[in-house]
Amino acid sequence: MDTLTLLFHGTQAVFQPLNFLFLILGCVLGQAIGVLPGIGSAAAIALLIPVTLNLSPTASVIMLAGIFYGTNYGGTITSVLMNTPGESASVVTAIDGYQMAKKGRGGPALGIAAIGSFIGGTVGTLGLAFGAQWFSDTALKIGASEYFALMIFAVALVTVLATGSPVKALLMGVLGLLIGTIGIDPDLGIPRFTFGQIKLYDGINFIAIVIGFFGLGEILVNIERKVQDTIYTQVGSVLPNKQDLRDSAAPIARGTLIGFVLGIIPGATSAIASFLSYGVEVNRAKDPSRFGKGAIEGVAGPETANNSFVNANFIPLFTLGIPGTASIAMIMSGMMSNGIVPGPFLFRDNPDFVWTVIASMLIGQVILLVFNLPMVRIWVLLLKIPYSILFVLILEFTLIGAYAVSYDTFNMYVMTISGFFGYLFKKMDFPATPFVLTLVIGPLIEKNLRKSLEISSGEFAIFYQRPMTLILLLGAAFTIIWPVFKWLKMRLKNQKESSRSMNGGA
Amino acid sequence: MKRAENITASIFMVLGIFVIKGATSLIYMTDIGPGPGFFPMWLGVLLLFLGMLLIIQNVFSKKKAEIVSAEPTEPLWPGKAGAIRVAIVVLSLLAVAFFISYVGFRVAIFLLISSLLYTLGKQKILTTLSVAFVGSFGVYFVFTHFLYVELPKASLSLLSALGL
Repeated sequence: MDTLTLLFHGTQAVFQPLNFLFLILGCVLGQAIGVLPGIGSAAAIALLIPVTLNLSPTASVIMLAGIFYGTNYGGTITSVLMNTPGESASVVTAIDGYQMAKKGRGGPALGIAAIGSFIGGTVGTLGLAFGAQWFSDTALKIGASEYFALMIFAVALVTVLATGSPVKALLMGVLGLLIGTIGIDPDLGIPRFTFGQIKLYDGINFIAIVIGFFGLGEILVNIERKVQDTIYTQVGSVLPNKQDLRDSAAPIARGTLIGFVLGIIPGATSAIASFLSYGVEVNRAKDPSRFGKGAIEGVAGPETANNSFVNANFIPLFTLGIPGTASIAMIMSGMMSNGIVPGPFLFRDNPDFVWTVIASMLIGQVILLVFNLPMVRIWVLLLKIPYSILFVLILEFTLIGAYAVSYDTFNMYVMTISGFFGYLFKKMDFPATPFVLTLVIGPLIEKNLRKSLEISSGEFAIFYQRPMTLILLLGAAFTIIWPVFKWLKMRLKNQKESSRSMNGGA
Repeated sequence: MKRAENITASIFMVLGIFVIKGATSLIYMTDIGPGPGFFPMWLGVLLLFLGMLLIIQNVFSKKKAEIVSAEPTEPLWPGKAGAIRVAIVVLSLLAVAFFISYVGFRVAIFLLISSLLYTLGKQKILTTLSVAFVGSFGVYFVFTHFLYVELPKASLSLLSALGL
């Protein structure tokens, strides 16, 4: 049977009452959990796996998948309206989305995020349906050195494009990488920078740090001045205007592609997809200084990329049995618990299951879009709550979010201390984005660096002998060197002008 | 601003030295490739280098005061009142993190919300208590019953006996 016929049969199965009910439930739960800061899809899926054991495997995985991609839709809402990302992938959305909300344009930010998410998610799922086999062959050819180079490229983009001093951005990037090394060394099992504390053996939870840095840090900056009650009162129209749509069309197209390509690479994260998309948009912009101040492209691209990524992420799971992210690992665990083994034989052994789940993901995108745009107005009602009350509730959710990541009060300390440092860094214009990116992907960077050097027996030649690795690393080097070159050129020009004016004055 | 930056850069440099020292006690290279000390060692070197670079940049950069317009700018650090507000929030959260396993989520959060709403939020007592009740007991109910997120319960026998 061809793909379209299989997809049609899958669609029919999705509309069976039980499957459809759990699809809606998954989407709604995902949306709600995404809104709650700190409770990521991985934790939510893990919590719900025991509940699914009494259901059919198809209904179970439909619901778990719905939570996974639904969370991304919901996470956007808190990122934009409260600057509190529910998911690491939504961190980058907060940069411009929150600025838009502050300017009374939270509605269009959420609207374009929903539209971009729908397009990205749909294309990602169609890619899964039509190209799963081909993608499995391609993904197999990508080695550790390419992963390493790809991540360095993403870090270079984000570091250089962060607002302010590149040196400060690089310092923050290195700091994030450093925190990622805390814990047991994955290869040799030796503790690193744990100071004998067992709590640190698993490393410092990056979600707790991110909640602190972005959620608490922002509250502290606001509270320092005085408690203001009218920070988010105006969000404007929910639907983006024609200019917004024109500005967002290309970022959505690019975001779809970036998310999809990264989604098929096991080990990449949706945070990389959204950060990379953001970097690309800043780089392509005629006026990059608009970014960080409420540029709609900074919302459209990353939001599309992370939803395209999320759906494409099922490709390595379904075709290779490799979970690309923590959430996908939880879905894999849910599948295994329900007697379904993901991998190359899944399409052959369980065609009904796999095509129903794929079809449910397509229908799920429609459900989320329909729920999302009208529901944005409901979420906007939250803005009516005075900030003097809201900030205390956000503080509570930062505590719950940090705690629920691993049910450990230690993460509450981590979140609070991170929040205080986030506040200090913000005051001194040290950008948070490079820190968060390297914090999230730092362990992956180290893992792939070490793996590459293990493959080459310690020879660094592996980084210039493999064409794709070389291209990506050259791209990273160019990304860092180009702004320095531009800065030097501008400085020389200014010096010439000032000496000319001094000579003229004399 | 530059003074604060130089202090921060110095802290980064000290951290870099500390990391290099820590990395030297780990295995740098194994027979099959880089060891646990390889990556941190280079990160330490980078921290040291970048910290130094930031200080050099600040020392050699021209005084911007001559170039920048004389518009009044917001001070970098808050006044006494602002610092107290920040300290209250941070210390309150640390206190919750410490006491929550003894008094449980509901009591800890009730006290957190009511104290912050009353002191910083300047809310009326009725609003304060209502929001604190919903935010603690209501949120606990929703999370434990609908989201199945187990939140801390009191370990103190008195509170535990009350079902908190």
